[in-house]
Amino acid sequence: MTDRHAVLQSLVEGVRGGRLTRREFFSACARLGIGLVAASSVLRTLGGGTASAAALQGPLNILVWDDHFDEPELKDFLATTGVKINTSLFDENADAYAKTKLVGGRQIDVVSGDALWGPRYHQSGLVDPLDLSQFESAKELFPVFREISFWKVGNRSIMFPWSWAPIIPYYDPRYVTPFNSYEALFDPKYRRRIVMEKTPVDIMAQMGLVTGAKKPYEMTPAEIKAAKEALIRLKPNILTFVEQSNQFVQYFVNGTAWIIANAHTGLDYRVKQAGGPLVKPVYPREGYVGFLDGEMVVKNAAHRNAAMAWLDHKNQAKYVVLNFQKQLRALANEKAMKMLQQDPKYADLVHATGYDQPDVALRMILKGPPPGEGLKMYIDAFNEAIAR
Amino acid sequence: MPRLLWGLLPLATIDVVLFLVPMVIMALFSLRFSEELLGLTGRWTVAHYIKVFTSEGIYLHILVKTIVIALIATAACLLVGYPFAYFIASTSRRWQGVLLTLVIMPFWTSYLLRVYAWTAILGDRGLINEALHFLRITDQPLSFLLFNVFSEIVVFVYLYIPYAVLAIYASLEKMDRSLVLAAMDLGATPVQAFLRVVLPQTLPGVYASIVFVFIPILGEYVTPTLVGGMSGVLITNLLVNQIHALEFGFGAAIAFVIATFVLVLLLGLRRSVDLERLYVG
Amino acid sequence: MGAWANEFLVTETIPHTGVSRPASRNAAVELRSVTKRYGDVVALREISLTIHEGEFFSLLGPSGCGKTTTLSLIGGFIEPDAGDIVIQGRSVVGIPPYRRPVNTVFQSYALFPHMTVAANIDFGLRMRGVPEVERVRRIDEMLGLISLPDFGGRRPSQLSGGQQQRIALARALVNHPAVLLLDEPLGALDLKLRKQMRIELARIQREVKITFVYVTHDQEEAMTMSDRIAVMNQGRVIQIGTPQMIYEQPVSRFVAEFVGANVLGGTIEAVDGRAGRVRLDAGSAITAVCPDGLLPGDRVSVVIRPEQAAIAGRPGPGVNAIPGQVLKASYLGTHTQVIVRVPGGIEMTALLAAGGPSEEIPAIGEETHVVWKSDGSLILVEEGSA
Ligand SMILES: Nc1ncnc2c1ncn2[C@@H]1O[C@H](COP(=O)(O)OP(=O)(O)OP(=O)(O)O)[C@@H](O)[C@H]1O
Ligand SMILES: [Mg+2]
Repeated sequence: MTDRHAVLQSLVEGVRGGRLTRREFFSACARLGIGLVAASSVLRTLGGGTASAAALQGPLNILVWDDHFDEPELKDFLATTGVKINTSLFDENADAYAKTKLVGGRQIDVVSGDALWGPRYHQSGLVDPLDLSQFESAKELFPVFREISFWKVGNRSIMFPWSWAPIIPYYDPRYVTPFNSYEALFDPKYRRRIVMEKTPVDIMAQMGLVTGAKKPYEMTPAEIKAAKEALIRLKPNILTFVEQSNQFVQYFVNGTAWIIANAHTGLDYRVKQAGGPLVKPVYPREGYVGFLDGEMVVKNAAHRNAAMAWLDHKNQAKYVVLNFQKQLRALANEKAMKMLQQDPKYADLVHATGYDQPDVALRMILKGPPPGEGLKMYIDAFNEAIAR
Repeated sequence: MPRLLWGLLPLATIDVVLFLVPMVIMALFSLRFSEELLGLTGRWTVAHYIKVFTSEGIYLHILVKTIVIALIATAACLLVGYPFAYFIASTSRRWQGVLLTLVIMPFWTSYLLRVYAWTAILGDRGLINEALHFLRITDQPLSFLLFNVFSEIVVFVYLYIPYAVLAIYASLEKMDRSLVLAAMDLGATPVQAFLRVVLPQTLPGVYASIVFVFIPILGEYVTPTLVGGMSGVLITNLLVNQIHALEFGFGAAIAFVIATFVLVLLLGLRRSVDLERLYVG
Repeated sequence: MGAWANEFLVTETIPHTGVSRPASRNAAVELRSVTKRYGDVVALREISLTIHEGEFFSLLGPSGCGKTTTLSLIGGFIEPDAGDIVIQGRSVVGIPPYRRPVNTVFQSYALFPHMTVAANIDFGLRMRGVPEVERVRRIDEMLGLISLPDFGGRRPSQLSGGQQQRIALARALVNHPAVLLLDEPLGALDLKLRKQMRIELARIQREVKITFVYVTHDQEEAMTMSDRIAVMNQGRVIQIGTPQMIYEQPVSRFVAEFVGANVLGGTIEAVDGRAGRVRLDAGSAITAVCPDGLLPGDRVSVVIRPEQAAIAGRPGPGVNAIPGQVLKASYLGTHTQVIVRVPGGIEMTALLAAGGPSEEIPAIGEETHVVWKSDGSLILVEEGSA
């Protein structure tokens, strides 16, 4: 009993000092024949420096986008750690932010978010920045994603990066002449031929690009007004907004839409797979917005250690590969990209989605909440435009 | 008849208990102003209400538009639903059972799915356009069938007509059939008998239909989103955009303006139903 | 009242269907071989009736015999499958109810609950475009006629059953119909009110002189109110006649039983001129007035009306008598009703006039005889055997 305890102590020290990854720690525990219950009781001592640090116990509560996880890794996580994961899904950054603010670490351990929402969470004191070097799977990331400047707090990162994609127009070349500027969208010959996902802030940002706003997510009132006018001008050409981008495919397939104005990369591939035309992406010369997202660990998370273990677990290349095959958009994991490049079935797609060009991600104008009263003004302007 | 409204009393009690608390919270939200997103703290203000009535008039404009569309859809529901209910009530017991089951059948499938199905009926590659094309009536699809106010109203009528039919059927069913015979016996043509005897007798059912059809349409979000296109934007769409941006205060203020309107309408309807009761004695 | 205008006379010529003989001048309603089926059910079989102008005519019969069907055919709510219906000399087949010169008092009254009493009465006048001044006058006149002068402003739901009944009557009568149809109008009232309303209805009918076609299954009601009665059974008219004729000369066992007579089965033993001797199934032999053409051995029904029967412990000679046991005796004021069980389990009723020959009210269980004079009974050929 005593020496077992001593072994455990040294293991714990090993994890603390970063000499052992958690995964190694668990397999060591397993080798020692210690039950998971015992392990978790010992893990209570694994402070990690936070005041209310808890042991590796569950269930783990994650507030997450549905494209950020798949069943296999949930199952594997339960099998290796015994920790069950409760997932609750959300659509809008603002919703998740509101929930996190209301219930915090007591009910949410991990929350997903978009690039510039990270700093917002951090400023509001809702999340703890992560030391990415502590995660084995973080070593698999493209180096650029480990060093996202606006996520940096000291040498820690607010988010564990997950996926990214530019949001760009696609067009059906059977009806649309090739273009490289948003101006083409306003052509009267495309009346009721454009379909867009209803993302008010991002649409306003895109309109900001059209009207020459310097920072599309931080527009001045005058710039917002100009963007609103642009949206009003565009309205006759918009057939409808869709609630979910996965509805885009059918609009191209059945020929109802000629242009999708704000799709994630990879739409061309999906349309073709669904038997539709070969649609073309446009990277407009005015620039393009995009998203880069990841996971954050909530401050005072009740199951902090499990949260850390989960992030390390889910970001392993083998799971990322699966996720790419399902979601068909770029991720932050380089190792997974390399594995996919070896697969002739996916090699082209890796390129089409920009997965092999992380610099595309860095050129994107990143999605984020307009600061201060900005969000309010964006929404008001958006409403004013569509109500017109 | 008024008895129908009394029958709603238990429901109304549950409503009060379940909705009063959220309503109070919403009222508080609508009167608070906060700098932070999701302003739980802040100062008292009526700014949100002022904004509802200013903002280039768009909220009022869309509210009025919503009311007009809801009125048109309600009128259509009554115009189509009344004769249908009348027809059902005039068939034999067995047929009534069959027809009422048919009326209720749509409720067995998902509401979202049913709305969505209309894009497959009215769309460019939808049932109607394909049929017109097949019959060589058109060579280009009729694109005005979908994503506008027209398709929105069509779907509203489709969604809410069962409520109108059921409410009117219930009042027709309760009516003494010999009253129609009596009216005809006294020289009333079938049309006169309907207008002077049947319709007044079933007004409570008509009022109930209005409550069940008009008011839910005011709060409709899914239908305008899925089939309304750009011209079918209704007040709830604007409200939801605000809520998604965590403008709970302003969203609540919009909701309260709608709720006030609904309340006034309900009181007005209740008064006319009360009058009806006086009338009946 | 003779000046009652008749707005209902259908002026256009209606092609005659069926019978070509013009209706007799003073016939208000004629049914000529009318048949009505509901699917497989034959509700009426070739009914023929003539109802005279100004007559109080009753349709009497058990439930389901087709009374309401007959009324509905006259009112125009249903159409006959065969035969012709003539009102005031014109066929009305195919004419909708709102164009027939007929009004109905419904069993349920069918007053419009959302209208005042006055508006109810006014309804028919409005429908026929009677000028307002005239309407007001007639409504007042009607409210007077039914003795409810101050009830114009009330709602039907604020009236008693009897009052509602009278409003229903006024609502129909105010139109001065050629024929008023009444379907068991007193059925929903209690006995006392019913008796009162019989008198009231008869008075009103005499006053307005409108033809009443009155449906009832209550023989007493039909007897007391009607000028003539049609007794119906199973979709057929069995007998038409004055109440007295129906009562005293029933043409069949059914009619006799329906109007409350004692009916005993038997076989003719001997015929002697107008007198016949009948061996009752109950055992006794009796004599009675015998119709022509009967021979010994024929099956007959012997009809003895209750007021012609009496009770005698020791019956004298020359009267018909059947032994029996008193089941029940009730004192009814002017009469005492005694029910006696005779052999064969048949219950006979005797009505003893107060102050009549047998003054004593017999005790229950007492052995006695039911007696009657030989000219106090009637022999009918049993249905289906003659
Ligand atoms: N609408 C109908 N459908 C089918 N059968 C009917 C209908 N109305 C009446 N009948 C049948 O026709 C026959 C005559 O019915 P009717 O209503 O005329 O009887 P009634 O003499 O008025 O009886 P009651 O004294 O019970 O009112 C009955 O056998 C009845 O069942
Ligand atoms: Mg009847």
